[in-house]
Amino acid sequence: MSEGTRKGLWWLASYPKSGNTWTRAFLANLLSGSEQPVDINALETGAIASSRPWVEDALGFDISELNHDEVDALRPAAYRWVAAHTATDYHKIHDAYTYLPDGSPLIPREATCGAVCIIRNPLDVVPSYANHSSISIEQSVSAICNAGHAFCKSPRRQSNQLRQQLLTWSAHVESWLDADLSKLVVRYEDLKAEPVKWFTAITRFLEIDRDEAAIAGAIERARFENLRRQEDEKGFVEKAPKVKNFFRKGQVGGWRGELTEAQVRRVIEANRPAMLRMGYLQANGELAESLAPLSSPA
Amino acid sequence: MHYRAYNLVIESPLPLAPLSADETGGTPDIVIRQASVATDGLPVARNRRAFAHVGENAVWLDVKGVARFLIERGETITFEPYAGADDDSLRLYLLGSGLGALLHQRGHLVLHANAVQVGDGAVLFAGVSGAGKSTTAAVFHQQGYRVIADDVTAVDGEGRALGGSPHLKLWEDALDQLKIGKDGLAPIRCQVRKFSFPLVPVISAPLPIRAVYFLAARNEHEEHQFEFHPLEGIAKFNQLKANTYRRNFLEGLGLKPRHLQLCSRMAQNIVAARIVRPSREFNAVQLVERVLEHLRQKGLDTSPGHE
Repeated sequence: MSEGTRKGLWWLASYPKSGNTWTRAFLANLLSGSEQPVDINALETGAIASSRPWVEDALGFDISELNHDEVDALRPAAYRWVAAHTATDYHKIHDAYTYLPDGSPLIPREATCGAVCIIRNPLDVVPSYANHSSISIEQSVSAICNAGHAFCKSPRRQSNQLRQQLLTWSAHVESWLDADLSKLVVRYEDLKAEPVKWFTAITRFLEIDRDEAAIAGAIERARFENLRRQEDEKGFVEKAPKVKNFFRKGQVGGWRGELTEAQVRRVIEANRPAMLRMGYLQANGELAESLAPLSSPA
Repeated sequence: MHYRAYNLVIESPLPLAPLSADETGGTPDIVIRQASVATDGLPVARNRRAFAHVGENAVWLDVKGVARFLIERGETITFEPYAGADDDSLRLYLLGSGLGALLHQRGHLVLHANAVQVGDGAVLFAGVSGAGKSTTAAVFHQQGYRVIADDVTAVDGEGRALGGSPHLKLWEDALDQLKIGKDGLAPIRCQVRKFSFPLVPVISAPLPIRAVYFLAARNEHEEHQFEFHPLEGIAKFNQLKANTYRRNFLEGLGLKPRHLQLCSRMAQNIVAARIVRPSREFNAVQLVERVLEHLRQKGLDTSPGHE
């Protein structure tokens, strides 16, 4: 599923539970060219960056007996190979933008067309992540504040995904904001408030040639209620075990009823830099009642 | 030293334990040797990946930090270690990617699968790394069955499984789950917490394959629940194709037509099912029970099949 003429990888980069799947649902609907909503279980916009089979196939030899650091050292070569040899796709990535011990980035610039960085208020990420991972709000707060937070990091077993270093929410967001890549930064809250403006910006950034009507249609088919209805009808393969729904509430500001004051303070303490940069926190340290606009999309 | 695996005699300068030694003194079918291997791959290749080039008669692999390998005509494997490479890592890649490529070159159907002797035939468990193949095979072993191949199973032109190396590679988590102590078990290489669990080496004749179970882990199920989907016709063929070891080798080696033929022939002669297991811990004992019950329903002998 690709458009455009450039060789390389487009990244849909976000901390988990920040609107990545919503964006992929929009893209899948935009590219399908059909009036029928795309099946949520067939959102084939491109492999996730941490897909073990995808990376292994690009490398060409078995990596199942390498440790996480050894695999990380090989990942840039895999992305370079994919960028040079396969159709351009849109790849979800939850890894923070990290660097290998030799100082080179895990995600090489020369293999990248650009990155859409989707960012959501960490206070809203907390309850959504708690639900996704079947953990308490308190545990979710701890995760988002933990600099060592990573998916699939156990050295004792093998997962079908590679280790993904998430870091704290703030470090994750800043890693992408500061990455030396072509980027479009969008906030989940802006996607909710002004979907046409921001999904159009994403479409243009990704060099996808579609008109306003096509974009509006894709937004409608990828609306939260429609994704949720599909999940209720037939389930969703990306949902974690033991969880009722992947598409939970999709709200802005829902945290107010779900986090205690102490938990709010903990999240802010550990994530202040990026909360300030993204406008969730004002310069005086108060939470923003309404979000100041990001620099307007082109 | 000479060793025996996949019904072949292998000569190697590097000790290849856990493979069984071959004392017959005959001419080896395969020669492994240490010599220089090109740093820039094959001049002519029909299929290239980042670190693998595949041509009609040769496969070149560059495993950074371990060695470069050149596998030719199904007869030789040349390797040139990187400085500081340890023997365990060399052995793993020789017996894994190296022999895997060589078995393709010899025209076998090479599946990403474990094989267990059940009755007078073999039952295979196929799937990607981490699907639970070795854990399942370990339970069969605990119940007195003979495991004949781990991770890579070669199938000859007559649909028979060839015995591979007599050990299972198990992650620490799987050992705990199977209540196997780590004392006395060596890590497969010092960099990972995956261990070599030795099995009794047996030189068995190729065994006709009776059944193949395709294992997959999935997210959306409550823990401890399995999905069991018997497969028929084209679905069996498609799964065999999809679970072929390093499929990109086939294109480069010009073996695609033969591969489809082998899959098609094999599909006609096997019982098959797809088993979707819970993504986290799974009860491999329960899985084995379900498989044995399925085999019995199909009228197959489910005894361990050896004295």
